[in-house]
Amino acid sequence: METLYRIIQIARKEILELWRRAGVVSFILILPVLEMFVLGYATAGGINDLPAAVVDGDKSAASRRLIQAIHQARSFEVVALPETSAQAERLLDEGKVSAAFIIPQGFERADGGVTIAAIIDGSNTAVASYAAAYAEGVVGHFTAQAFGGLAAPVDAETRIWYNQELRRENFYIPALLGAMMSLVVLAITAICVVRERERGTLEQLMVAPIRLIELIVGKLIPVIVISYAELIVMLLITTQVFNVPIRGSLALYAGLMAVYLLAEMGVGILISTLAGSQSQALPAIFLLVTMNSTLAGFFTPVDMMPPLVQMASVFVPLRYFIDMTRQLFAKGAGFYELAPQLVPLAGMSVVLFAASAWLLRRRMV
Amino acid sequence: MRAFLAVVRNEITLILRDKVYLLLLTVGGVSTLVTLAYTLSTDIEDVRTLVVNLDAGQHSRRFVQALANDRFFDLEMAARREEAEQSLQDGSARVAVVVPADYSQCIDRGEVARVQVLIDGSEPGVAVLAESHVSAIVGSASHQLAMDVVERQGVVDFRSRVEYHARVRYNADLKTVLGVVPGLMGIVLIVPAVGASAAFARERERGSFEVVASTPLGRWPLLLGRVFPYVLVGLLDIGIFTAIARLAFAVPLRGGLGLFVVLGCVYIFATASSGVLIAQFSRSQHGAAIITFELFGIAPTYLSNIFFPVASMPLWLQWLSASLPATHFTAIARGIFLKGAGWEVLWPNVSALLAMGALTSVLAYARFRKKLG
Repeated sequence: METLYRIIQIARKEILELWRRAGVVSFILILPVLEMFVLGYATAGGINDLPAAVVDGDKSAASRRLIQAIHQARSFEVVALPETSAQAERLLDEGKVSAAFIIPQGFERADGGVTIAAIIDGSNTAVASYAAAYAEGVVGHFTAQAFGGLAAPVDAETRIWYNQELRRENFYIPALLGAMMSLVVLAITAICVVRERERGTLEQLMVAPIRLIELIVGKLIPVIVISYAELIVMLLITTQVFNVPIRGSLALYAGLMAVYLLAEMGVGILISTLAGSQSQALPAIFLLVTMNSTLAGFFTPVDMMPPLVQMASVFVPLRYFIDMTRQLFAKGAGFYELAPQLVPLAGMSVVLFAASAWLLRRRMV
Repeated sequence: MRAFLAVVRNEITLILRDKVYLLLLTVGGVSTLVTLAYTLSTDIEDVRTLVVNLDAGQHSRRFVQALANDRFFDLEMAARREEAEQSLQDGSARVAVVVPADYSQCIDRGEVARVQVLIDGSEPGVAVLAESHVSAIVGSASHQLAMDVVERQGVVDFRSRVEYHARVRYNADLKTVLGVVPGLMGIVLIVPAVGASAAFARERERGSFEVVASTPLGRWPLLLGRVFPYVLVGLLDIGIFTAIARLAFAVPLRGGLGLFVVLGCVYIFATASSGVLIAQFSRSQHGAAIITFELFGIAPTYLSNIFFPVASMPLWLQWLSASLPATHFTAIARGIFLKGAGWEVLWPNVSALLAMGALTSVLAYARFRKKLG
């Protein structure tokens, strides 16, 4: 009872302090929402409308049909019709187009065989591999259609699981959710803990009649409340604004979040105990979150990364959380499917939290 | 000039005193570049693919061979159809291809043979490419078989003679790393901007602004002297980053190194003066640093063509992208490193950076003067 009372007292004090720092705190809470909107709209839909140029050397009905076919494919938008291939290459140099198609003279008659050439801008790696694959697809489709009455003898019946429309936001938004939760937890924890160090009030707490565990729990209650509130806001945006489906159980997700929060709060206390001031802690946290996100598979699947990077990512709690979020959202994965990620994450939570409590105690005594 | 040098010396002393900051300035940029470059350079290939070939005929063997020849797929054979679905569910494969038992029979009888393809769509980037690769292989298999028929029947259609040839310029093997490393340089080169921003906010936070304001130093030395050390840091960074790109990641430098250094300075000018402007409005040092970091470090990862194509974004994001200095620097760095581009190609990006730098420094100066009273 005494314990509970003291915990509540500390939590109350923390909430007051956070309220006093409303400027920074609201900045930290608004930022994830802004990033979610930018990333959500940036990735919504496919990789489409890549600017393309076509050099029509034939100027025939057939070549015009091919240009139509390129333009109507969702992947490309024909933005220029240069006269010569040198002009097309210049457009590639300037980065105005991602691909240039060259239809040779004699395309329609095709006596002796002709070659449709495509030049892809390989320097913009964000689109290059897509442009190359799309270009082959568009031209291939056009020529394959051509065998008069003959139907194509081989056909693929393709089914895409979990994300039929291949919406990219379904992949990136769950990752952003994880990354932004780590930002919120780390930054708020830092504000709560570093301040005591800055003001030297940690020593006062040391002589106060409270136990270390009461102090930590009391300090972390506001962090947990704020984090879950932020989570609810972000989940609402995820499902309502970007229509990303959540196929798994929300209750399970809330539970996974608790395990993850524990790990990140451990990291937060560690950083805060090591950093001397908030102006040191906060930039370090921003940098850490950025590095962690990429290591955790935010942009590319972890198992396709170079082996060295995969090894480093084993120690990043965010990796397991992003993986679980994606599986729970897209595949509706349950507890047993997620166990391979949950077990290492839970282990890390315990270790990180114990280490941070130990370090805090050493600093205090 | 003496006033300027005094301010520079003062700033350097302050930088050297703050060890964490010194660490961020030196090791921070380099380690960020290396980590991000290694991670983001993942080429999507060797995608684990399960093939279930239920047909014993020669046509299906040819088809499976075509899949195996594509480096995009990393094939594994399985005997039963159920394994295909299972592998997708537990994530042990991302693509599963089932060749039906009557595949060869259908082709020989002149009917359409249908292969079944299952793709895990939860990683859309991989799935889109997988879909394109499968359809290209199916297309060329169709083409070949149709050509066989055409030859046998002696029918010649013009389009049967049309060939397709693709060439990738600037980056023949489509190595992601070559595009990512120059792109990331813009992001890590914001370290000077963050530093300059924090430097100006620092004295507001400490309340020492009035002391500085009462010194007989002119406004320009106060403003430029404080920024100059960070420009030096930036120059050093450009050298280090170029060396890392060339030596560690084997990115070719096809254009002029001198041009790159000059344009790097233009970029630092644009970002640093924006950072100083932000600092004029921020009440705390880390507030200024974080806003600068967000605007010039995080926003560009989404919006400057490094990883997400801007051309596919809604118009308002394309405008936002064009207003970020990093977007222009990405174009400049990729242009010089990979395309060997010079002034005649890069001038629109350079003028955009110069305009941004000029505008923000005028605004920062005006605000600074007002505060000095």
